[in-house]
Amino acid sequence: MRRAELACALAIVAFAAIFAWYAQELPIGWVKGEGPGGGFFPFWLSVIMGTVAVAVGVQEFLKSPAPRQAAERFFTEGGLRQVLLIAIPGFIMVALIDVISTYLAAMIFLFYYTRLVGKHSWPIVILVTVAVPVGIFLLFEKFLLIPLPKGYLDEFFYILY
Amino acid sequence: MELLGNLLYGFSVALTPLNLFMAILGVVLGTAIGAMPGLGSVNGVAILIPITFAVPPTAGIIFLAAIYYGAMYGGAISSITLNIPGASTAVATTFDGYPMAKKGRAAQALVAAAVSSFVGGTVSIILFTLFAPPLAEFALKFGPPEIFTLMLLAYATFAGLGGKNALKSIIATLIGLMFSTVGLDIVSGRPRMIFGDIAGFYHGINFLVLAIGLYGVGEIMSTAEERLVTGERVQAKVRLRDILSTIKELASFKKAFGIGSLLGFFVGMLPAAGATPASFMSYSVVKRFSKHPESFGTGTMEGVIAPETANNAASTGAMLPMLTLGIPGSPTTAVMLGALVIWGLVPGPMLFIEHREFVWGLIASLYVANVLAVLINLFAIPVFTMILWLPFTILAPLVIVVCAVGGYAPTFSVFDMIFVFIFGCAGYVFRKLDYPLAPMVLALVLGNGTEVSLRQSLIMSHGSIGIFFGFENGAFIHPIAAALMWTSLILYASPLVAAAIRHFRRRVELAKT
Repeated sequence: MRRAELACALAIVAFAAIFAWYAQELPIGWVKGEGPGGGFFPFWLSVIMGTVAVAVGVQEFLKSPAPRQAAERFFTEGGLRQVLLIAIPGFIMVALIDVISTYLAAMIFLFYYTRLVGKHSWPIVILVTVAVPVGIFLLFEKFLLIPLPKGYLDEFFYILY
Repeated sequence: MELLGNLLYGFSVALTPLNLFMAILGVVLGTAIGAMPGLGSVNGVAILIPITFAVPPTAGIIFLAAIYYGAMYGGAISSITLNIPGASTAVATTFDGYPMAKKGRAAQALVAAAVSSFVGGTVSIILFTLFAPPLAEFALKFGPPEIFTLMLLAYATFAGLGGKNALKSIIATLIGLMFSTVGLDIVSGRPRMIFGDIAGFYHGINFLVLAIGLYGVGEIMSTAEERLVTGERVQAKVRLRDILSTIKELASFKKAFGIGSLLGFFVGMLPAAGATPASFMSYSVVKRFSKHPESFGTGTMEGVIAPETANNAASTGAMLPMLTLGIPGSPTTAVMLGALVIWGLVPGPMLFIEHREFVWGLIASLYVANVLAVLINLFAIPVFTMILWLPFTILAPLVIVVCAVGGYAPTFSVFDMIFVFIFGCAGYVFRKLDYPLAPMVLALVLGNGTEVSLRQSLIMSHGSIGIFFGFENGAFIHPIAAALMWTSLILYASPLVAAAIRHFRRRVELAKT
């Protein structure tokens, strides 16, 4: 956990540095006649954040490690696997949305998780895989009139309108 | 009394068949939209404005206000049963609502939320009715220095709430503030923080995208790790006597109800800050004044009462400056203001004179909508708690899909969908490392307002920070700002002072041995 804390603090400092860099694209000081420039707020926020993050890192560093705490791992046993099992396919699903439409991407994802991870029976798998995208279609497209991205398969959906 | 006469007139308007129908429809739709993650009152109101073109403006505003109310009720539903805020206004309800559900008290939490919303709504409508003119005048006094110091105070209350570590809470707040700077710079109109020229950043980082990512996807990832593959069912049976006993239990929390309603109304009234910041602030203030502050976050009813009374109270409060001054009290009322303009109505004192049926019809129908909403919510509880029977392995992918779509809905951008997942991963990491999420989302909501008021204040004072302590060009003319500023500084310093005291006490004890 200690390593993770220090890594996170470091990441935040890096984030602050990048942010500060891009912030100074707009004036960070006082613009004559206009007041504080556009970069003022983000720049000084990054500076403060970087400082506080360093403080957090130092605080963590100085903590005398009690043996049990130092051994506490960031990921529990088997936990990392479970998280990756849902996170990575989630990202893949979003990537697919712009190619084969929200509904197909969702169907693939739902099928994957309920069948391969959840190991549910076929009736439930099929029910979920079909019902959820249909439900979302009816709710968002028909009721709320928010068209969802359909990637390259736009034309195929015209019949539904 | 003229007031009573106006109110009775309003009821005669509100209870006509058309207006009543619009109120019911608005409450039902609002509750449904509020319950759905990704859509809140703002989206609901915006999308459903076209429906109002078919009816007279009075029916239209009644409809929109009913949606606003319904969303405040509905947001609590998914907050409590799924730990995913149905709307930004219900994020604070997840803090204790979901732990209650995990303890098997989901039904009680839902009843508490519904009743709290009703109380908050009713109290605030009564206040609205009584104090419309003088209160609006006071809110006008809040210029940039006052607004900035108030927001600073809101962040400061979180430095105390944020886990064990005030520093991490400050970082979370800063991250939120920094996110709020992405997009177009409000004052100069130039694109800012777009990291080179990434098109997806032009519209900034949307609050709902952050909230859904952190609290939706992030939560699922955390839960996936904790539960592994087993689908854990949470038992939830609702009986009528549960509802009644919960109501009895609620009676012991009068302080929370009082603080929530009053604080909510006042915060809602302030320009731009609406139900969302009100719910957060109410939560932290009620916690500070509670007899059992350590129980907050573990599933105490007070923790549900506080935000739920506040968000309903704030939505009424937010309508006050909108109607009387044309200054929206919240993002949703900003949209409602747009509707007023479309209907050709000009907000202000003249509205109260020339369009009495509009103003008082609206006020009366708020009472009506509130009653309708609490009845609908209380008797539909069994339906809502059935959601908890779903095994995790079905719920998880479903939620992920809904979150992805929800990330798209606010801005119609696939880029934001990706962000939902990125924030999800960030949320997962932050949860593990004890970085509080709430200050982050609060800061994102208030970020633009904070920056604008900061810049305006500095312009007013020609660069001097003294303005936040009340001094403008040497004269002490901002007492409110000064009071707020000192309170914030004390709140920021208190965890540090407490830590220093603890450190020195330990030193003294070690030296003794």
